[in-house]
Amino acid sequence: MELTLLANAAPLLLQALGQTLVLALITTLLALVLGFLIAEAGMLGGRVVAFALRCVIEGIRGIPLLVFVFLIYYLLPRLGIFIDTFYSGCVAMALFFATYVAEILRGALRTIPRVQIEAGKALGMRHWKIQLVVVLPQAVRIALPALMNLAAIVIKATSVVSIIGVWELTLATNEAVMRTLAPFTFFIAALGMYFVLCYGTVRSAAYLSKRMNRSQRS
Amino acid sequence: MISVRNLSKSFGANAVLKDISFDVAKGKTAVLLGKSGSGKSTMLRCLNMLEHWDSGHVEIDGAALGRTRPPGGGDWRRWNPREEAQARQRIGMVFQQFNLFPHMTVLQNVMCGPKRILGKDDAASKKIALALLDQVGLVEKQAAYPAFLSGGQQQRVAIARALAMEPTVLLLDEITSALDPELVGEVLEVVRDLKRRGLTMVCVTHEIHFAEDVADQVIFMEEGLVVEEGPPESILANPRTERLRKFLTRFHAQNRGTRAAA
Repeated sequence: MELTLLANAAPLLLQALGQTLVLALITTLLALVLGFLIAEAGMLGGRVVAFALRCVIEGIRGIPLLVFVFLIYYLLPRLGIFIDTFYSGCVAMALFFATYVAEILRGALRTIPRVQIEAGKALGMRHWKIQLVVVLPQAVRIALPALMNLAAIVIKATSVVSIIGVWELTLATNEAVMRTLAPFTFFIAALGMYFVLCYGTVRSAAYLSKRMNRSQRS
Repeated sequence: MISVRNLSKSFGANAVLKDISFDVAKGKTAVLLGKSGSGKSTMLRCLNMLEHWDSGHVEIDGAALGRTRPPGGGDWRRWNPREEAQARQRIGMVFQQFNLFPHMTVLQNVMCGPKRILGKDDAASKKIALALLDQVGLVEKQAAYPAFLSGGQQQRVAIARALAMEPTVLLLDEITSALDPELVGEVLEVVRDLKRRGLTMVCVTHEIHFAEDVADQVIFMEEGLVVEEGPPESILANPRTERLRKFLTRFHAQNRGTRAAA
């Protein structure tokens, strides 16, 4: 009986799962790039820039994601930026999680010895090339567990943007529940799908970590 | 040819280089000899602008290094990062601690210069890298990561990595000091080979064997000054200054000590 309900809604739910995945991917990629730039700016910019960035980072990290999503949702049109709700959700989450990425990378970038930078310089590389070719790959290896953990958090956090009407797994599930009045069936199904995504991320983290550690003596 | 004129540098109130001048002829190997704190490493690092000097001039192959003056005279201006990076491409450097890139294999380390800096394609970079790995005798280690090599092997890879940029000058900073004694020979062999090929080199060391072994010219430094300079066979055998004599005596005494202990 209830399985029939689930079977009927399956195409829709799978599509919603896809949306969640895309949302999580865009958010994670943007957050990684932004977070790296923030970490770099903090190291390059001198004390004033570093202090300003600290304020912004601590500020954003001190707000609930839900409130931040609302803030960006209402703020963007005010700034004359009219984009789809989906992208508004992406922007909010990317900015929010970029602060976490920045903190993770800042710590990891600092562990790379200065002499590595000198080796890059001695070959004739300039700052950004040294950062991208020499420093970042080493920092990412160190930061990988924390970053993948964050990616799993991002996947779960995408459910928050359902509040501004971004159609993804949580919103689609809720709609199905309202149509069918079968909350357990659908929420347990959604729970299963979230779990598979997150567990998959954690497992691939372990795999990636192992691969990247091939360069290390155990 | 390298020419250093009246080079001085201080870290705060501490003068580490005092009015240093010397020349290294093309294809020759100069050894900066001295104990730690003599300023020899700082001098070497100035030659590829990892350190910046306060006054004086450096020329490599007749062109000013690190500073530019508008044609027809005027004030010297220090190079910007782009100009420095450009010049460093032709000045190779090998470090005491090897400083290979640990996340790259041996082959990737040596390919790094041609591929990532000179923009050559994969095949061309690989060809250059393999030829150099062959030259230092490490082709069979190409797929290994640096952490799995001995110190001597890592240092030979580091030399190959520097050579891949086809430098006109190679700077060697205490390259055998971090090695176990039995691994020094293989690295020295590579340096002798480069010398035979006519590469201009400047080496820093506190080990007299190294100087005796490879130098065409020894520059003995102490407390930021060039104390004595000349061909190794004359200045190491017959030091003219009390300071060099003391340095040599202490070195030989220590050496006897370590030999006795071993």
